Amino acid sequence: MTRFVPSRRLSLLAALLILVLVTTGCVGSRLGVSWASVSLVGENQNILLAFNNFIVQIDPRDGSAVQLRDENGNIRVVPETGEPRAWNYQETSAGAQHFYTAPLQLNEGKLLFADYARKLVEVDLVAARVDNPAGIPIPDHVVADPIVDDQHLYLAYLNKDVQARDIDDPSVVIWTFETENGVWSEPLLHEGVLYFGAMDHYLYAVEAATGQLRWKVDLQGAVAATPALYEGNLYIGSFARKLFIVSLEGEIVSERAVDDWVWGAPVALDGVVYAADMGGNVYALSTDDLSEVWRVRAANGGIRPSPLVTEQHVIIGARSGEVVWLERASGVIALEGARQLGAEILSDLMLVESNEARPLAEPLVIVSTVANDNLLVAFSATQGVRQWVYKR
Amino acid sequence: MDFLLNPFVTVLALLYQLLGNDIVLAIAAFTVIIRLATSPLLLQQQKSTEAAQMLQPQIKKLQEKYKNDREKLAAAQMELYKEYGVNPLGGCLPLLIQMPILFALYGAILYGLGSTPFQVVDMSRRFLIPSLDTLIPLNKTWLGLDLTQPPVFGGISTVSTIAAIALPLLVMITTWLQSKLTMPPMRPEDKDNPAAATTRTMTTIMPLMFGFFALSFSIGISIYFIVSNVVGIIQYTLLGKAHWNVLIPGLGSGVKALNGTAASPEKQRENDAILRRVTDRVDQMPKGANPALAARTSAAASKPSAAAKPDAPKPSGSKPSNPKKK
Repeated sequence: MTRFVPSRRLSLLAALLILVLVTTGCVGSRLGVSWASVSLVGENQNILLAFNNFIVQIDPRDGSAVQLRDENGNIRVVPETGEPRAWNYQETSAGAQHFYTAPLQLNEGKLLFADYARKLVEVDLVAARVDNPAGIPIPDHVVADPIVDDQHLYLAYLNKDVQARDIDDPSVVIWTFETENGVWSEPLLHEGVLYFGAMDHYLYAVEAATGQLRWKVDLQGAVAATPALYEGNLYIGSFARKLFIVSLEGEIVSERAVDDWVWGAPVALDGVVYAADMGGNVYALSTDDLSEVWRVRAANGGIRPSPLVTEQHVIIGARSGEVVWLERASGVIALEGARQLGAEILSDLMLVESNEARPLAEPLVIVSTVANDNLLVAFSATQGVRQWVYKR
Repeated sequence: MDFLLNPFVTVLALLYQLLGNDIVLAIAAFTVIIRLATSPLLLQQQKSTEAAQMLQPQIKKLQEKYKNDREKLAAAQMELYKEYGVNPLGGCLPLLIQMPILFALYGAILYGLGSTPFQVVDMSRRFLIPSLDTLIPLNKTWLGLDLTQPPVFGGISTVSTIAAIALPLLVMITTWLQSKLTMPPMRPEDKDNPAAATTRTMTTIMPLMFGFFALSFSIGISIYFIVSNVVGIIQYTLLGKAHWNVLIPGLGSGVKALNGTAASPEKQRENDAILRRVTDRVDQMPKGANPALAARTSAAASKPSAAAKPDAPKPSGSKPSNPKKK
């Protein structure tokens, strides 16, 4: 009988291990802490995808990784294979860089990233390498894109506070504005005032030069979006299932109930504000009083990103993996229904238009999902035809 | 899992609101509620375990008698269970029902403590009461500690350093205490019993494992582990199932003596009579009388057995005993 003992113990240990895996698996653990950032960089306005431990530069014409070139413009190759090197930075050591924000382009050759690992790191745009792995220490994680003006770099932190740092020497803190909770979206800078929403339910207006509070207004729920500025008013939603118009003096001009949390920033254009909620609804409302122009349930999953508004369409990406084109005038679902990407869409959608350095046959809508086999997908903006997919 | 998780997340948020926006009190209260709500299942499980333990001496005798005949051993065990009205799976079912509940509780705490965009986006549409949305994000600071983070040694404050040492220790101590108190006292005949050996090993492994979890997971989860263990100890004590005398000799445990260690002579005679009835019935059974059992035991017995020495008779179970195959 005794020879059965080890196997029974092993079985029990295996069962415990499975239990732990199931326990953690049941609550849907994810890789990383936030979604990818998608932005445009460099002279050619290539797409820069920053997610978790990698940054890659992608050519919007075909979705291929941009080839790395030396200062003279020659393609750099891998010495062993002679293959061209791609503009791809990947951090392999544990606890090192994690990128969820769009970088700031300091000059032609340098990008500044607010790294999730509590530091500011400089990335060499030519060599695709981190110049200062130790980085400039910052007090907290960052998930909101940093912004700059002539003098300051503004950083919003995951758990609390917004800071202004010297643009020439980001290790120097100019001021710190205290919030009770985190700031998860980039502040809006307008005429020397920073406007930002915080998870502590307030929309703040702060003097950009001094960090002095001008006003704050309670939006009854967490505010995770950047306010949209339109004709002297701010448009913003909160987790209290409401949309607000707030004057630049800090008065709530109008508010309106919606079906679910509003996470993405609204877009205000031509007298209409477009917003989406986490219940899959899209709203087109009057910028005067938030009265309804149209509303539609556009997706089965919640809509985290801001709506992307083009001349003809309002385009949304949903947690259910759907990308939907709506007629901007009526809200009717256009282009024969949704495109299904099969993975959650959380990052903001981006419109890439043709330019002289990098001509495109037509504008593209760039959609990022959380799945490696659909990390970036490009659709033609007007027809919704899939152009390319970037996988990893 | 959402059908269970969403109500749990909602209740946790309600408790948080009722208890002055204190997430630690909410976690503690919720753990107590769930442990109390599942106590009938715990009681059922405990009863089944005790019954199975009570039958151990008889099972051992049957194993000795039918050591070369697995088919008959299985039949005899089933007959024995039937005689005593014990369901051999009675201990598993309550456990299986409790598992998803405990997973949901664990999940609700993890979501409740969500502090990153991914975690908070996963919280959307979970509250069954929409007004609770305004509570997000729940306050995750307690005594200056960030409950969403694992304990950090050499932290910024004395409290965080003390917590970093104390929390894993408390998790380990309470886990060990609970295992020790709920494990039946070791009997002389358990010395060679593999099941008892496994249980003893688990009493050592579990606290270490949970101590490791406490170091790796967030402080909030450690608090859940501690509260859950303490409530478990109190529950077992109130039900009279905690073996305090294992820790403090001389202290009455309230647990009735197990058969085989302190059974009365009358009870012993009754047990022997039942055992005889069972073995008589099984001995009269023709081979393969229970096709389902025969098929199951033939599969098991066809594997080499430690009991089967090279010169020992071939176990009957290794023969094709399924009538359909004959």
